[in-house]
Formats: sequence, C-alpha cells, structure tokens
Amino acid sequence: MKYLDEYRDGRLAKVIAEEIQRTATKPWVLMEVCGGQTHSIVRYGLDHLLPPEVELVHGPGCPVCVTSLEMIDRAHAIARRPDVIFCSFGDMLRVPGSNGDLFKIRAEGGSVRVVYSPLDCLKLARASPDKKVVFFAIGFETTAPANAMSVWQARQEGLTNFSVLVSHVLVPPAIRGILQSTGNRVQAFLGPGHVCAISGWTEYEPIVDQYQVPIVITGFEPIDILQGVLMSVR
Amino acid sequence: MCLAIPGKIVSLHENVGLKMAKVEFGGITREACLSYLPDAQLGDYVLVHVGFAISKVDEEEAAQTYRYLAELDQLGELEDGESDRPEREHGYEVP
Repeated sequence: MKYLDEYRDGRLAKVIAEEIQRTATKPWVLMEVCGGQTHSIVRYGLDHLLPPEVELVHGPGCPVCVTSLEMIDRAHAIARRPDVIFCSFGDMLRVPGSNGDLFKIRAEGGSVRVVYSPLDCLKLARASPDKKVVFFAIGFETTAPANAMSVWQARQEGLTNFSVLVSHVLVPPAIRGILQSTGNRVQAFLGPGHVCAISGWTEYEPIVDQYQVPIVITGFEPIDILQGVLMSVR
Repeated sequence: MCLAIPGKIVSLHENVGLKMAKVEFGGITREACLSYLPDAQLGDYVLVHVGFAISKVDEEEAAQTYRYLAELDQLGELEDGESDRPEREHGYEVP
C-alpha cells in the first residue's frame, strides 16, 4: 500500500542500520515508549539489525500493562454483576486481577464482550435496554478522545444504560518518572507517534531541556523506528 | 489496541449523526469514525485507532522523508563503490 510498503523496505532498513553503526560512536541506551513500537521492533527483528552499541529498552507505553491491579479488580467486580454487559478492548481479557481474569468471569457466566471501538458499546446499549452496558475505558492520550466520544454520543442519543470505568494515563509524567529514577540508564527516547498525533509535541520540549536527553517522536513502521534511532544518536 | 493503522478512505456515510467512513487496510475494510477529522475526504490516507481516524497521512511529508532516507542509500552506494545498481524511487526499481 502507498506510504506503507516504502516504510517496510528491507533494503533501506539495512542501509539506515549501517548509517546508525557509523554514527553511534559510544554505547546508547534508547527507550521506545510505546508498546506498538515494541511490537514492530520484535516483529521485524529490528533489535538484531542494530549495532551492539545501541540497546533498546521497552517502555511503559502499553495501557493494558500499566493499568493498576486495583482498577482491574474494580472492573472484574462490575463484570460479575448479572445486570451488566461488560465491554473491553480484547487485550484486557487476559490481564489477571486478584481473582482470575475476564475470560474466567465469562466462563462463569458473566457477560463480557470484546469491542473494537468504544462506539460498539452503544450498539449493545441500544439493543439491550434492560442491561447496564459498562465500558472499561483504558488508554493513553491516543485513546481517551475515542472513549470520550462514546460518552458524548450516548448523551446525544439519551442512552441511560451506558457508563464507563475510566482508567486513562498520560505519557509525559511516565517519561519524567523514568528520568528521575536513581537507576535510570535511558539516554534517549523514541517518543509516541500516535499520542503526539493527538496532543502534539510541545509537552516534551521542557523534558528535553530539563534532562538534556533527545526525544524523537517516532512512528511505528520499521523505517520510522530506525530513523528515530538514527536521529537520536546523531 | 495500542496500534494505529494507516488506511485509505473508500466511502463516506453517516451513522446516528456521526460522520463515518469505510477504510481499507491492505485488503481489509473497517468502519471508522471521522468526528475528529471532519475534513477527511474520499481517497485520503488516515491513521485509524480503535475505530477513530486520528490523523491524515501527509503525503508530501511521507514522500519527502522517504526521499531523504533514500539518499542515505545512494551515499552508501558511493562509499561501497557500487555504481551498477538500478535507480530506485519509493523503494522500487525505476526502469
């Protein structure tokens, strides 16, 4: 596909990796912030393409992984209620709480549904007026507007049987937390491209100034990630 | 869920008052909400995350970045002393 195949060009990936090797004159520890970037790195074997001087550390940018146990237990308590249809992104179903996961609750008779979009919950709410449809609204800056739109739309339609359990998180405080930790080894960040598509990059400029670390807002295709690494080490 | 996938808008419609589109992702077509990208048009490339178009793919910027990266390739060839490879544009050989 246009502008997708080009950014997966294996020959160009090798050329950029060679340029990174020429440019990296000292060991670098880089953190890719997003789980989606980690996914690309592992899927395309980019970590094996990089020179040994460059180490990639996986970051905290997976909303599923950073949701607190307390919040997961709350979600499970709601999902167990017989009057509830509990909706979640598929990734959350395997995440364990204090007493099993959402798959277990479904196996025990709970009504747990996987949705692709928060708007899917509204279809369920319209079709099941005798049930309470609850959506587990997790996510970073990228996902929060989509979750919010489902609430706005439910209000527009006068749907009273739809509610959300909100667990949104922000990226910049997480980067600051890493940089402030005493054991920090990270010297540069591949910033979250999708988050910045929503919130811009101005929040990251003070972090660069204060901690003197490069942050390169990076996309998710293999060539994007290699370009981010190259710009960081430059 | 953390992924945003680039796709092409192949049709536009409305659903319960929301501007929606069918978006094709390399053969798979899914519905996406255009509320946050109301200017998106038929044929545009957009990034879709959890059923919402969040950003238009800037064609000029994508092409410019690729051209810049492809220049590395030419520099590498000069350094390697290779001159008999066919010219390439957007990752494909130019006859």
